[in-house]
Amino acid sequence: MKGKHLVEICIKLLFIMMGIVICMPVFFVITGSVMGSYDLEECLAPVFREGQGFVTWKLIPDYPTIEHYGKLLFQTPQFFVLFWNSMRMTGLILAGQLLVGVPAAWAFAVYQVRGSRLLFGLYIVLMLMPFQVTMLSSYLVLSRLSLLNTQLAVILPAVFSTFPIFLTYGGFRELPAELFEAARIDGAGELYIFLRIGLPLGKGGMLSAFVLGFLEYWNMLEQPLAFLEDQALWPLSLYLPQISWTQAGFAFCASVIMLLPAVFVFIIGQDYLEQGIVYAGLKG
Amino acid sequence: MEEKERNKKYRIWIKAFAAFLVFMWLCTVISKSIYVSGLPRVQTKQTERKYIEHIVEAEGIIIEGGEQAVNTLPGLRVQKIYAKKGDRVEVGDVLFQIDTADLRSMIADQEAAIHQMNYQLADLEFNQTLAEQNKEINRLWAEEDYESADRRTAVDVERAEAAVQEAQRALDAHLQEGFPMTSEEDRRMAEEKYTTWAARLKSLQDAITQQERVVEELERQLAEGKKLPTLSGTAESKAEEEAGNAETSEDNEESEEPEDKKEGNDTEDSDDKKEENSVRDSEDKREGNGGEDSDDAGDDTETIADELEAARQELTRLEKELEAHYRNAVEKPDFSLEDSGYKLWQQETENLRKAVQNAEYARQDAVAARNSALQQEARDVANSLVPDRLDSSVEQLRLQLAEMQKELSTYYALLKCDGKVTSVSGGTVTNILISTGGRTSDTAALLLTEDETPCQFRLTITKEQKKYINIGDSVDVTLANDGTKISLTVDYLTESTAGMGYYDLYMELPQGVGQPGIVGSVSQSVQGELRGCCVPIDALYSENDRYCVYVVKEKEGILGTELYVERIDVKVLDKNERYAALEEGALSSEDKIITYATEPIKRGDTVRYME
Repeated sequence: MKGKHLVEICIKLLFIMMGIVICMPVFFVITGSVMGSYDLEECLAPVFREGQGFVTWKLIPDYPTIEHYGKLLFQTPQFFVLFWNSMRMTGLILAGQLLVGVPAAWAFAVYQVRGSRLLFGLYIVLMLMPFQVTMLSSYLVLSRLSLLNTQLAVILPAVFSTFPIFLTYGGFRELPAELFEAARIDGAGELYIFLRIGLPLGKGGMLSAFVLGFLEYWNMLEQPLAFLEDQALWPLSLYLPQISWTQAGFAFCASVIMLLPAVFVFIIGQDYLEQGIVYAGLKG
Repeated sequence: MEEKERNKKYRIWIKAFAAFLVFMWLCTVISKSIYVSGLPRVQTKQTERKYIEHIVEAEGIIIEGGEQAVNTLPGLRVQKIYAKKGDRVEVGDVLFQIDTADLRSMIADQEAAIHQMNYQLADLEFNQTLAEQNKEINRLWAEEDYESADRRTAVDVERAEAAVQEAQRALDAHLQEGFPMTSEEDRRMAEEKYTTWAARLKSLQDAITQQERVVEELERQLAEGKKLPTLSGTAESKAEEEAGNAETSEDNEESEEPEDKKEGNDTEDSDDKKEENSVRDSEDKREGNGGEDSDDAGDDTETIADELEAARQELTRLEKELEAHYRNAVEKPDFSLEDSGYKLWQQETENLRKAVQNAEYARQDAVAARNSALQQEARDVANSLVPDRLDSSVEQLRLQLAEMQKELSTYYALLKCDGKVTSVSGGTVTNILISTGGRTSDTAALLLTEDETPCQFRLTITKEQKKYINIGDSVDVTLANDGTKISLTVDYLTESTAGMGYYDLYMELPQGVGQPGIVGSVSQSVQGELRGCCVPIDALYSENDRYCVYVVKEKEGILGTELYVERIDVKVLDKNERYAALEEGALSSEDKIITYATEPIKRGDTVRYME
């Protein structure tokens, strides 16, 4: 009994340690955002001296300061331009996926049409392809459509992404078919069934898709870099690499601010995220 | 319940997220407003085509056209000055008064000085006369010395010439007399003759000696009744040899001898040849007879006797010849006396030549001495004729005296006026150079303007303005006192004493216009060329003697299209206070040139337009 208790404690300690280690980068970012130039230079000296020696860090800075936050929030309008670019693109992508992906997932989940399984399989294959594989073909298509150097070049391909369909499909698959039959018998139309029965009951999958989609599109890097030339159209994820190492404190501060929306979304959608992962694990 | 709590949690977090977004929106607005408010605001303008007008605005003053000086004698003490600067005076107005007591004292000093000078003048005149007399005496003495030297040196030269002639005559006589001297040819002939005679004598003597030996031998042989050995052959061969040598020497001399001597030698040669022949004959006989020794002794004795007889005859002949030779003896030529006499004669000749040469040298010396003496005396005469150095001290004294008397008369005139100095013409007093209680100097005491000469307007302009107004240009002058506008022509331009980079222009006013001291102004507009690229002067920046302008250009950034500053170097062709004409090509008509900025700007700065 005692041994079992001890094992449990050890396991818990191990997990706690792993959790700390996993969370360390977040601590660095937060503490680095309130470090002064002197502290940062002292800690990051090996970086400035081209790799000689090891980087050190202080969890409690010697001379903490909020000047970086002041500079970022009140003297850097460029940051906010890109921030709202990110918010706009992410919002439009999620809205588009709601309009396009959810009905598609409903169709795959509820209606057994000839070739639907084949098509769904194709969707899975497309989902597995990394961006680099389809980048060139996407570039050519967007160029032909004159969408290059516009935010639609990033939004439209994301709207028609297959991943949210996959996650939402899992949620809709959990719904009993008898319910739909009963509704049909009662005279409900397909649209009524979708809107009044499907969406409320399948929101778990939808919200998980939204949460994962938000996290993915809030941090996307390759698509804007490839399709957007004007810096005014860039998302916030492309701003951080523009900051030089000599402004490390400012870069940490920008990272913290950029992290916050993702934290909010994650906390709001945490429960549905778990459901989505479960749904993703279930086979159709 | 759980659901409610969960929903409540969701609502809180959603609200927090919404609040975060609102906060971010606020920060966006604030940061952008701070950013924008920090941007320099600019005003821009584009290039224009304009005439660059140059307006020369300057101020000047009327100055007197001419001045006249009021002079008085220097050194007078000023008792009172009646005139002031700017006063208008007429003819006869009292300007200032001299102290009469001091004037009287000066008059007395002047009179004493004049008396002293008169004495000095008298002394100088007397000394001058005395110097002239001494000079005349020196001249006469120099001429006399010259004539005396001429006579004396002429006599010396004559004597020297006579000595030369005498020596030359002696030499000529000596040479004419000459010295009888046997010529070399005669001497050589005499020597040859004697040598021939001596050789012949020797040969005869040798022949006789040999012959005597032969005779003795024959006699001995005869006495002994033996054949003569070949001893006679030896004697003969020797005689032949000698005869041959004599012939050879005679033959060598034959070509040089005269015919008569040749004949004499031939005679002698023939005698020698005869002797040889006889000796050879006897030898031949002997040799011929040599094979016959054994014939008979009796024949040998006869032969020997014959030979003896022949030898004796030969000997006799030789002796006779010798005697004859002695009789015709040729005396050995001895020219030693002649030679010594000739040497003496030559020496005498040399002595006479030297005497002639010495006499010549003496003559030349005499001539040189005469020339030198005459030259020296001539120089002395010339020196005596050289005029004395100019000495104008007498004249100077006379002039000084006149001046002093004139000055004295002026003092008297001034004293008569009670020391008051009046103006001799009308005008305005412009400057007073004397002071009460001080003494007058040799410069002017007062300066007055001349009424006859019109005034001038003096305008001071800068170096930049000088480019647009030159001599001969017409300018409009506005006088300050009554606002009169006059058009004047620039007469003269010079650097101003006001400072570096300033120039004074002088313009003559019409007669009777203006008075010295009145200020005026000039505003002259000069239109330049039409320039295709003109910018406001405020847009022009200069740095290290180079000009540049700043233009606004657009760039794309994170904040979208932004305006930034670009610097363009330009070359200024012309400019005035408002515009600058630039060289075309650097700017286009679409360029927006910054004419005003709320803050200092530099290349690359982000700016915004001013509302």
